[in-house]
Amino acid sequence: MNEQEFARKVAAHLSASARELDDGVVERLRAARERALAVQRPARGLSRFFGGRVGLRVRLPAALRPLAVSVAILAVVVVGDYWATWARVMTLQEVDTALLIDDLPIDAYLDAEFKAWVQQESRS
Amino acid sequence: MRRTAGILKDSQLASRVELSAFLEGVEKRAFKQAVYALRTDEAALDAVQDAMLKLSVSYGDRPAAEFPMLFQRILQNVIYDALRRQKVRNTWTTLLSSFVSEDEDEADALDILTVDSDAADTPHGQFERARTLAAIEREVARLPARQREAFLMRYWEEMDISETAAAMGCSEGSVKTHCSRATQTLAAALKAKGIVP
Repeated sequence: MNEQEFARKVAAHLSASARELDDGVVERLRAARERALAVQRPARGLSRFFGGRVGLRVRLPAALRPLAVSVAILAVVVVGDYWATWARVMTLQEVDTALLIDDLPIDAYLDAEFKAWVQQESRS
Repeated sequence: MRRTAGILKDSQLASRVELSAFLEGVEKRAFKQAVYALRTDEAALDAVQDAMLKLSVSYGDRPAAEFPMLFQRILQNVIYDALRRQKVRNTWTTLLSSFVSEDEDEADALDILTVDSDAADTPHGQFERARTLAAIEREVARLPARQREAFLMRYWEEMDISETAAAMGCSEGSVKTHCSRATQTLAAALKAKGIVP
């Protein structure tokens, strides 16, 4: 008896054993099958003729997927840079506004002696 | 328009019929496969039900020819997941695992069996046949997991080597090796017990 013949005989014994399952098990398998069929993924129109998943593939062919990923990454970088610049400008704007509406003239901040005087005053 | 809708509905119905026929044909063998790996009927039933649901939900619209390979792949993954969960549970319930191994040892002591096909119709013959089947199943269950998967897919599910390789996620050469080793191991084990299938 060669290997394949032996294996097929063993398989025949296994089949015989599978045919003799308890009624309870058979019934539960039938119920499981019916539950599975009830939630079967429906064939979506023409997609069935193209082997399924046609929607995703038409919108995003495999060859374009790396390009789409690159575009997405670039978009994230550009948006991030824009946001960071906008936040910096807003901060500077607030400082400028504070300086402009302050009673103290701007030239005072550029005066080294004024700075020294402020430090001296704060110490005393 | 109505005709197109009718054709589409028919094609969907055909697919449902195909899926139903496939599941009906494979469910008992799938259950047995799960029992060989998981050792309990309850866990095996859960695994088969999970595999059926996953096939139906995710691949129910695929061509019927792909069902065997897809189902086997899903079933093996579900079985591995269940084994992982069992392993974690058994870590915390050592008492239960020791009970199971004692049970297996008792069964081993009965394994001096022969097949007598002439006497199969007598009560004694039926008893012997049942014991023989049980012994063969026990030896199949004892095979290393990958060998058992390859053996059952190739010879029980009658999948070809490329389908089996796709379902197992390995090369065709590995499938041949697993099958050959499984067959040799089974032959040696059954011969040692005086069983000729």
